Formats: sequence, structure tokens, C-alpha cells
Amino acid sequence: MVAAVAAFYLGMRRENERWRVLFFTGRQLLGEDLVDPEELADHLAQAWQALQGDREETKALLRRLERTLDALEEGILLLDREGKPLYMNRQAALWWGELRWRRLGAHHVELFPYHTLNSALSASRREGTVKEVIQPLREGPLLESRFIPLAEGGLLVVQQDIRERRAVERMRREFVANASHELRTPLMAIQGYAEELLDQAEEKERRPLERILWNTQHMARIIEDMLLLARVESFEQPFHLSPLDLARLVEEEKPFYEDLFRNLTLETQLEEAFCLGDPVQLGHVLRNLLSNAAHYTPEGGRVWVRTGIRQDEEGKRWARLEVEDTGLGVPAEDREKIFERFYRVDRGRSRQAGGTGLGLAIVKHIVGRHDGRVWVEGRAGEPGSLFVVEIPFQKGPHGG
Amino acid sequence: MAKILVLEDDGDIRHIVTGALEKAGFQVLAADNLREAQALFTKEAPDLAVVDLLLPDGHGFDFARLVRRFSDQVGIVILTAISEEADLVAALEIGADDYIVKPFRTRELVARVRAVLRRLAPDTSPDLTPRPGLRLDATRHVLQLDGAEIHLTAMQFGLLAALAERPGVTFSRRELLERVWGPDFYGDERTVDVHIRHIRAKLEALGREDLIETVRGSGYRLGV
Repeated sequence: MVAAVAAFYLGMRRENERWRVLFFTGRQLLGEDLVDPEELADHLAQAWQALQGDREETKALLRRLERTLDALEEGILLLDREGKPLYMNRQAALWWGELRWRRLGAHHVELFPYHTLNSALSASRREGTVKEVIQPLREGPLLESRFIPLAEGGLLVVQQDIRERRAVERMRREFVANASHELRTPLMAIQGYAEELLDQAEEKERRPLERILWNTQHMARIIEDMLLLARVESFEQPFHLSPLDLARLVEEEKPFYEDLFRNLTLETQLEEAFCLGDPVQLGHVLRNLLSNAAHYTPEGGRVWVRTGIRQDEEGKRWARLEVEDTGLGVPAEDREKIFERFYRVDRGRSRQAGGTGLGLAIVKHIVGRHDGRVWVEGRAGEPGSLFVVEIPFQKGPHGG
Repeated sequence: MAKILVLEDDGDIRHIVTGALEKAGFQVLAADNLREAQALFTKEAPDLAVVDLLLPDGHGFDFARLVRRFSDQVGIVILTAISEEADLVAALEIGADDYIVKPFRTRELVARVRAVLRRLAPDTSPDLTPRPGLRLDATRHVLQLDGAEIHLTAMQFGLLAALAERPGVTFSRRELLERVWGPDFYGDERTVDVHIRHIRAKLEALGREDLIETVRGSGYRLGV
């Protein structure tokens, strides 16, 4: 059809004499009374011109798009529903080497570690975008890959070489580890000598020495939290994810937080809430939130811990942990900032309370590594705050 | 009077640790490097060694291994500035009886040293047979399970013996600390978890890590 129209068009343009001939043919073909052939010719000519223009535009657009994709530092691949590559940008072609030319359309096993692709395909079918780190060649690029399902059934894969980022992370983590080691040793000396003096101290000398001891311990807690934060930020530190019930976690951690609530009322409302979680890391989340609540709630106040499942507006289900208190509350303008390291709403008070200024940053990072989210709300019309952690819901071992 | 060897290269900490232990009534020998410690160890035959990890001429683990080659009856308490659980379990793995993380209170160190020495003292208590196929040999700190033997350190044996006294009964972490480390012990209850994790790692070799059960919200018990 296109060829016929093209021939018609070229005929019109190149040989003026033929116009008549062609019109005549058209008239013959269409029957004189049905359509005015001149009109038809006009329409066709216009349509073709428009089409030709569109094609040029489309081509130019495609070229621009391809140049843009080739300029990216990320590798981009399109895979069909079986996992066969349909397209790669320049960077992906570089990483995947000759595979592009030799094996374009080759079976996916040759391009991606089979289990990676397989699990990515089925996982992305289930829950949308999946993120995985793969290293196709030993010593080769370390590719953080996002597998994004396409409506027509294939996958868009976006890859990033994270070797450099990992190296920086490793350096930072080693630095924090070394720094904390170097800090702990002199701290130990200060504390030890203060204790020695305290043993022989007269009554009026006791308070300053006790404060020295309190402060060395406070500093030890800060060091501990710095280390923990460096650890949870580092992707070298693997998280051990397994199906885990938040309700059970709250019960299991009890011995480690119940002491905080000697002068407060702690109420638990626990409903099964399974997610994929690392029990040790989520234990940090729980203890940090609870110690926060305990420290900022005046004596006689109440703290509630709740767990359960919640479905959001998009129908996605979340395992949810709530910690609510009748404490001071967080002013609306500070609610995002309190998750930053060393951010204090009230510097003096929080130091008095013994906080390290890192607890909520630790919480945020751990929750983030579970693909979850954390935020704080006020309590409607009453003082206090409500901290909410949500982690993607996962079926429990009993299908619950 | 028990004899204690302190291996620590930092002069201040050596002074503090030595002073605290002497005040607690121990006879203390001090070394600031591995070689000196090894010489003292062979010459003086101490009952327990307090060992720092990063030393000018090696690692504290090297010394601990050396001590273990000679005897299971010498206590080892690791001093460390590293608090990662994996490192703590590694310290127990090479045969240390206990560890303490800097900065620590000196009385906590003394309490831990006393607890280890108490556990190491010749145990004349009868062997425990909490159930058929399971026997705890108190003189050798050995767990016999369906014909296989697992050697335990003093603290591990203490923990297991405490649980085995009443199989199926749940002990809280605090109760276990009190029974094994003694009533004057105070410190992190996670100590118990670290030691239990290590015992389980040993049991895992026999596929029997379920011998010690975790009871949600309360503590541990011996499975029946």
C-alpha cells in the first residue's frame, strides 16, 4: 500500500505530463461518479506529505532519543517476555560486550545469571520493580539492576555500575570503625581513672567524677550508634531477610526495653504483621523508637505499641509498626528533619535525655533497606507523637 | 589467690585493669606485647588471661589460640574496642570464655573475671542427664549428645548446665546471667545471646541447634 502511494506521489512530482494519465487511471478505477479524482489526488498528496514529515520527525526524534540513551552512564536494556534482549544502549552494550552483536536475541541465560533473571521476572510480575545487584564477570562491573515490568509483558532493565560507590562506602565504613576504635581506647582511660578517683573521693568531689563517668558513657553510646549507622548504611553489611512477624518481634525484644518504662504505662496491641525482615536490624528500629518515646514522655505518661496490616490507597499491603506516646510531640516543621543525623528539636533536652542524635537516622536507614517507610505524625488535638513504620507485607509461613 | 595475666599494649588501660584486679585481690602479671605475654604464660602459668586484641606484634586471638593449645582450664577474657556481634562470636569461637567491650566499668571486668574463674574451678557437681541420650560432663565441660561429644568453654557449659537443671523450663536472660555470671554481674543482657549463638553454632554441626529453644518474650529453655 505504502509502495503504491509512493509510486503515485513520485509520478505526480517527477513527470508533469503523467498527471493526466494517472488521473485518468484513477477515474477509470474509481468510477467517474463516486469520487472526484482531483480531490482524491489532493488528499493523497497532502496525506503523503504529512506522513513523510512525520516520518522525518519520528526518525529525528528516535535519533535524539538514542543519542540521549547512549549518553547515559546507566545501561538500559529492553527484554521481551522470555528475557531475550530487544534493545541495549551504548553503555549496556559495552558492559555486555560482544554479546550485543553476537547474541542479540540469544537466550537470556547467556546474558544474565539464570536465577537472577528468573527471580526478577517472576518477582516483577508479582510486585512491580525489582532491584538486584549482579556481576556478570568476575572482577567486572558490579551492576545494580532495576527490573521494571512493561505493560506488554517484557522488562526494562536499568543498570548502574556501583563499584566506585561501594569503594567509597567501604572506605567510609573502615574509617568509622577505626575512628571508633581509636576513640574508645582513650575513653576507656578517662573512665577508668575517674572510677579510680571516685573510689577514694570525698563526698563533695563525687558529683564531678560521676558526671565524668556519665559523659564517657554517653560518648560511648554515640560511638556505638555511629558504628551502627555506618553498618546499616553500608551495602557490604548483608541484611538477613526472612519472613518475620512484627508482633512477635515486639514480644521477643521485651526484655531489652521494658526497663525503659518503669515510670510510664506501656500498652501493646499486637496483631500478626508479616514482612521480609532482618530480626536484628528491626530490633534496633523497635528499641530506638521505644527509647525515644520513653525519653520524651514525662513520668506517668503512656506509650502504645501497635502492629498490624494496613492496605494503602493503591491496594498495596504493609506490615505496620506504630509507637505512640503522650510526650512532647514534634513540631510539624521538624517532622522530616528529625530523621537526619544529629538533628535535635531541643538540643539541651535531648542530651539530658541521653539520646545520641543518631537513633532516628538509624531507624530510617534500616527501614529504607527493607523497602519500607517511616514517618512521624502529631496526635489529633493532644500532645504527643505517633511514629509509623511500614514494610511491604509478606505472607507468613502459615499463609496469614 | 588466682593469678591473672593482663595483655594490653595501652599503658593507661593496662594500669587501670591491673589496678582494679589487684584491688579485687588477684595476683596480677602484665605484658604489653605478645612475646612477653607468651614468656610470662609459660613461666608463671596464670589461671586466667585478660587479652586485648590489637597488639603491636600480633593479634590477641593468636595468644588465645596458643593458650587453648595448652589447656582448657585457663580462663580467657577478651578486651575489645570492637562491638560487632560477629567479632564477639569469633572471639568465643577461638576459645575465649568471655569478652568485654571498651569502655567498660572496672567492676564489670572484675565480675566477669570472677565468674569465669568460678566456672573453671574443679567441678565436683554430678553429671547432668536431663534426658536420655544427653549428658553434661561437669569435670570435662563436655556435652554428650546421642554418642557425639561437644567441648564447651566454661561459660558455655555453665549456661547449658543452668538450662539442663530444669529441662523445658524457661529462664530469662537476667536469670541466666545471675546463675552463670553471678549476682554481682551487671551489663548487657545480650551477652547471653552471644554465648547462646555460639553454643548453637557448635550444635549445628550435629544438626541439633534446636536443643536450646528461644522462648518469645522471655528467654531460653532446654528442649524436651
